Amino acid sequence: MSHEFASDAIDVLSIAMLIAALGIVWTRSLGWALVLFGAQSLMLAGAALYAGLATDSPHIVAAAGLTAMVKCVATPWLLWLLLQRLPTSHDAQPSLGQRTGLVLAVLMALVFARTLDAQPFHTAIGAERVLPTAVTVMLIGIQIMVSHRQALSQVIGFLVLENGMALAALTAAYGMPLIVEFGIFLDLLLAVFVAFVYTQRMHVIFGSLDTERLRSLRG
Amino acid sequence: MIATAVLCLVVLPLAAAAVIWALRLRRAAGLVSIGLSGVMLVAALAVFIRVQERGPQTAFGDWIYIDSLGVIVLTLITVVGMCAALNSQSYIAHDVARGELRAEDEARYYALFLAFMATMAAVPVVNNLGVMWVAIEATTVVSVLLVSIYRTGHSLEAAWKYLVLGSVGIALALFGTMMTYYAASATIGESAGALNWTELRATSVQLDPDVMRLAFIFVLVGYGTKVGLAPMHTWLPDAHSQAPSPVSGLLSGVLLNCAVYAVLRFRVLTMDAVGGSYADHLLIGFGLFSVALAVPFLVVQHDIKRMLAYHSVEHMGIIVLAVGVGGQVALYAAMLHLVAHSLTKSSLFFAAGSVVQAFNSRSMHRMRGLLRITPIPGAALVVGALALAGLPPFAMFTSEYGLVSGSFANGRAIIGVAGILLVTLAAASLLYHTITAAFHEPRPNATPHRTSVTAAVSVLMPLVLLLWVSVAPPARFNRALDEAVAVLEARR
Repeated sequence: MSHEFASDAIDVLSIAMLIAALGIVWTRSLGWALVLFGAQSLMLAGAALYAGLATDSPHIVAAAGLTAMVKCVATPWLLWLLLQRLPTSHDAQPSLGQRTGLVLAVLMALVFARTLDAQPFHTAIGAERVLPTAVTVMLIGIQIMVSHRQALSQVIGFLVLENGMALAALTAAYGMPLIVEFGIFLDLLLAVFVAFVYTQRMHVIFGSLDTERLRSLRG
Repeated sequence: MIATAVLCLVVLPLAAAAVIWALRLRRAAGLVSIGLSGVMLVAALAVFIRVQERGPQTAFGDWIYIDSLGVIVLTLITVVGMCAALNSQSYIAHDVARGELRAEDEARYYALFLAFMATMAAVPVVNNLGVMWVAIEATTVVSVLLVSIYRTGHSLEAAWKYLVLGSVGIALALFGTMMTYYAASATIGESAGALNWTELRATSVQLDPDVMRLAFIFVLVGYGTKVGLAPMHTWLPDAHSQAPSPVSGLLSGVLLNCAVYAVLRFRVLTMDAVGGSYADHLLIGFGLFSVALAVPFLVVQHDIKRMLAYHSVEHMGIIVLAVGVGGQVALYAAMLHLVAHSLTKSSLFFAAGSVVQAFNSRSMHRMRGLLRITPIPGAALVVGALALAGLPPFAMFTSEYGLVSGSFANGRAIIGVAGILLVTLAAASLLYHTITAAFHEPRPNATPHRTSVTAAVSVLMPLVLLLWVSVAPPARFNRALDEAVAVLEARR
């Protein structure tokens, strides 16, 4: 596979990841947010596969497999299970209106696409093209975290941030060394599991997943 | 020998944690945690002496690399860990007896405690900065579970904030690490070795300065969240105050050091690559802001554990500020402050734990007659407060003096002046709160409270060590600090 082809494919996939992130900002349904996150992870795995094949590096292909397993299957499944178990509303409870949130995210994307100077990052698979998109996906992840009161939405925002970062790492540095990748996935899975346990406990103690209840410790 | 020591420090406690968890051990778990903390302490001291005698050590290929900077952090982890294990015994037994912890939580507590120690011990001994990131993230995941061990709304709130902010912070640090890897793969080539400290340091002057500039910002904000630098510190007072007190001592005394250690490593690389004072300006900014932001919260705080937690924000700010001021004197001061803060703050949190249990309240207004009701922890609180306030003869006086004189020597007098003012305010409020509690008449119906031997040892041992390194520091200690400063000195 030629580098140009892989670089174009990764560019397209990165835009698709951005659109999925915008979809998560837009939707009010947690179920749809999970589906969109799973789709975004699949695109990330695809981008990793292209990068691995184009550069003949088995460790990136392995990382693509790990991404597919952990971020596409295990994590969304775990969170889906949680949604089914809790008799709570599946409303994502954004504290910004749908339109405001989307406009903010799109503005951020435009600003970054125009201004971020990715010239120091130059690789055969086009890091300088993909990097601004990846950073925007990261920022949208943070936006999702701060603009949602629902605990699960915050977790999804964090996962979007992680995906954006993985995309940046993939194109700029051809991914991290495999042992580090393994560690990252292990830690990620553990963190999601802890969040899984806490949301259940939150439901038992407060009767909802609204993080507005978590405001008694101050000063 | 280094390989064996690392196995004792990291693998053994993890294995023991798994066994305790699986078998649901209760009383035995406490004894196992004391025994293993002792083993870890001996292993760390052995590594300390070996590094001092033969220079930096490697093991397991080049996966393990321990130099004089790492060995200081490692030794502190095991010393404070030993005291925390001793302190846990009566503390946890008390909470189980009162029904605040369920009986089965005792096994979970000790399993998590040992796993926490193991993940912290891994941070200063690994060579690869990516693996170091994995270890630091692992400390978050494990310690979050310790913070939420009481199943109350408050502890859940603290743990949730810690998990969310900690995860975002650490994700940014990963992004910075990734950029460093990108910069290094240009000079070293793509291999796992490109993130090895030994190789990075050897080629650090050739790293792309533009990339390293960006990388350092992400690393500083990311690991800075874990250090508790303002404005990313908001999780810290909650998590440190809601955790069981032995764990608060570990979180504040040594976990913060691990994050500082990570920032220090990247600072050296950035200074070598970028040159000039780029990294230092950022460190000074965050350090000064942290101290300034902590002071007003200190003045009005009555909850003893929250007050101690805000002091952690202040003292981490001082350390980062001293590192930013730079030069031999200020860097020495930073290392000395790191050691003194670990010893003082862990003892203070352990003592606060006993006092809170005796008075059944965290408010310092209710702790009247501290010295008569709880003589040993009470006295430790007073002495610890004097040390933390930076009064002579304690080491923090020397280190804060070093920070100020270093800043004057480097032509940054204004930073020194601001530092003196803020630190004095913080010290005054600390002394006011402590002395009021200590010397008031106790309430008429209050009866003196017995302190167990293990708890007494755990609060006094760090203070004795502090006094030792403050008044008559052994030659090995001074040499270790000097060598750590040498590691920190940039090539440009």
